[in-house]
Amino acid sequence: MPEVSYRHRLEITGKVSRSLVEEISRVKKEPEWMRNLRLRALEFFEKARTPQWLPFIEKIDLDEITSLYVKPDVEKAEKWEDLPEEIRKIYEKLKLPESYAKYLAGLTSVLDSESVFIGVKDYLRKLGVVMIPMEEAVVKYPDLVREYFSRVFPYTDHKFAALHYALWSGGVFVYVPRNVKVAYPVEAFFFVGREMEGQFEHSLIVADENSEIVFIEGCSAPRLRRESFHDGMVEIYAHKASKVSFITVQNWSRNIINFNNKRAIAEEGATVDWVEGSIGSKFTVTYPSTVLRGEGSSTTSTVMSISRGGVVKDTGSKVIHAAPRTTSRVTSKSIVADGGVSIYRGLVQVNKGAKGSASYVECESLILDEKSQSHTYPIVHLLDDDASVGHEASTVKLDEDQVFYLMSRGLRRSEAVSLIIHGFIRDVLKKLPFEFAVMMTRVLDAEFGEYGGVG
Amino acid sequence: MSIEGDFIGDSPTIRRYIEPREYLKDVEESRREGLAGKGVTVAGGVVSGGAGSTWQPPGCFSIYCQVHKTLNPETLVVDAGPDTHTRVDIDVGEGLLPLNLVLNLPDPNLRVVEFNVKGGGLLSAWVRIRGGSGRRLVLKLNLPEGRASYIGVSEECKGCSGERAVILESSRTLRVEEFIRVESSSFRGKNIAVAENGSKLDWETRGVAAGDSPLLHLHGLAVGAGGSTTALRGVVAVDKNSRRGSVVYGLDSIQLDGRSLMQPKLEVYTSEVKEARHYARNVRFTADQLFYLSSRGLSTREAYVLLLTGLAKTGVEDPGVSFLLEDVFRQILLKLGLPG
Repeated sequence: MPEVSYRHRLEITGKVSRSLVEEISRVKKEPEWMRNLRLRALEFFEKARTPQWLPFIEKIDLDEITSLYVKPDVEKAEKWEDLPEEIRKIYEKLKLPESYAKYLAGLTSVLDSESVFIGVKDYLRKLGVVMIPMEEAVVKYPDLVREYFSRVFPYTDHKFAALHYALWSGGVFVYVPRNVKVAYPVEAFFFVGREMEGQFEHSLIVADENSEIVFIEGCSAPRLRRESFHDGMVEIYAHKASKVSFITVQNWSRNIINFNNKRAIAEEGATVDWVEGSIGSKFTVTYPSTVLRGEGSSTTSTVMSISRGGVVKDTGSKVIHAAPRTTSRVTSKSIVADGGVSIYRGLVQVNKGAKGSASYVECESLILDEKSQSHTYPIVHLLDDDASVGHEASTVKLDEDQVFYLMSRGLRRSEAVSLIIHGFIRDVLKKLPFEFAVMMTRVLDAEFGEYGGVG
Repeated sequence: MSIEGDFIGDSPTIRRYIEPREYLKDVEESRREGLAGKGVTVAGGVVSGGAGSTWQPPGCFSIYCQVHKTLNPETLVVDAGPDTHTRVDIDVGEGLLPLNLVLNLPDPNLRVVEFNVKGGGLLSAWVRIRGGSGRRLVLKLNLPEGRASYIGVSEECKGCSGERAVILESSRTLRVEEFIRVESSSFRGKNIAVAENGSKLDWETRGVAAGDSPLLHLHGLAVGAGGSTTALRGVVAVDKNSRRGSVVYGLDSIQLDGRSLMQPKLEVYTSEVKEARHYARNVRFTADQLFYLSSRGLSTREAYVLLLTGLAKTGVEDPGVSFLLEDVFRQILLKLGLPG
């Protein structure tokens, strides 16, 4: 998407400091507990060491990111026509109104640091599902938010989690009541409109007992001349026998440094499914994680990443089996080309007492040229001897024999390569909603056109 | 990339199983006590001292290795003799014994080299294995209860082929570091680490495959018994100038009342790979497997031994190495408290 232009009402700039954090809290008219939480997180951020194990960390200069809170000049809208034309056009280009009308039960859209659109269909309202912007939830449902906010992913986890909690703004709060099964997905869409800007949205999903929901997260940004920084967070609490599916289609432009912190806690018999389609950005660090806290809980994590032209994708998945008879399955597929770097970093830990637990991790990389790299760093940590855990990974290059065979059946080279690439990520595409699978296929064709992806 | 080359790095999720400060304290205490044993004696080979005393271990990346260098170890050369079996007794006494050992394998015959450590003192040793093409080696190490110790093993294979199996039995806190560089060569390695009596065993491997058509297949098996903790980890890298390489790095773990960590890392810097894969799994035997073997007349204990020895041979190509490994491993298993 080319550069976009729209007006801003308020912008808080400068380096990360106590006064800046207090200013954000004041502007948002937050309760005391949230202000204190931000300040505690800031204190931790200042003390915490930068993780040196990330291969590109020295290239990130947080001082370059000067706009840490940006409020667009728009009132929160519930109808598309209420948005100013220039903003509405952005969303129309991204086909959001069309998606909302066709198959979403709810949609919230965050532009820079604030939610600008929140659409909740009658279907969702009648079910009693709460879907509101995060800052509104802090005021409207303080007890509920306080019970879960920063409990799943505490700010003490790492430096960038602490930075997120100090500066968070925007995001969505979703509460699914007991025994409610939401048949249609809901979506949160995040858009960074400018360069040298930080986006720190926070999404919190609470699925009460025996409930079900599918949540889609979309991210996009226009082509920017300089970098912007995204440090978002997703916390999921899946109560007994509930089921939460979280699907991410990340399509940031090539100037976005993307830290995406995602973690879920699954209680007894609950299921959490992560699907991660990581297409864009300059650097991406994301490891969807699940703590299987209740007996019989389970999780799946399906990650697909594309790295081209110097892009580094440090992705993976982490699972902690903390209760008996818990199961997990992780599938990761990455495609690297044109000097891209793909890294899988995963953890499977079986705690003492998590008897009869089982986990299987499978990751595959497809390298399309000699300039690219693929690395795999799995960790299997077994503290109980009654568990069944397996990890397998392989790196393959484009097989010329396969290409030759397909060409001998009458396909052009480009069609043959396209077929092989699509076959490679078939497992991931199957898990995506149809519309997203089609979109992902188009992105693959565009990204790997020169290797034959456009057919 | 050289054997000492930089690897991208690791997340701090893994805690150190052997706390460096405690190890340093142990080194200091052992040095103070200084009750060294009789040193090294060799049966079935020739030992000579002094040669290559300036030799330093490659790729010294850890604090344990740095400490080893500061201990000014004596360098001994052990030439395996005409017999297939060489026994190296290392008496560390109750103090500290720093040692560099160069193990020369003169011909491609299948060799068994046994390192027996005696005494409860601290051993800090580097073993450098040298040999020609077609070398086949079964290396057996035995460390009884005692102070925390450190062992490094390095082997380079350039324009040759080789196969090596290491079977290590330890009842003490032990850190093992292993470096393997394969350049336009073929090398298969199998490491079996048995930790007993509540001990901790932390084995880290660094392997590099370079040149044309290198083959580097490394398999590890950790057995934790009696409340012991085993950690098998490492990184195998395919060099960016390497072509048509085949790299496999696989780890298995059996927990007989123990804890286990596995971290097989793979770094591929080129698309010109024939095969690059790794795996990690903990092995549990199913009731069906045991029932079937019971129906063939085996007791539960015999069934376990059969299944475990089968696992020990995974990744081993040479029939001679495989046979010897099975035999040694069976003897160790019979000592352990297997079910039945």
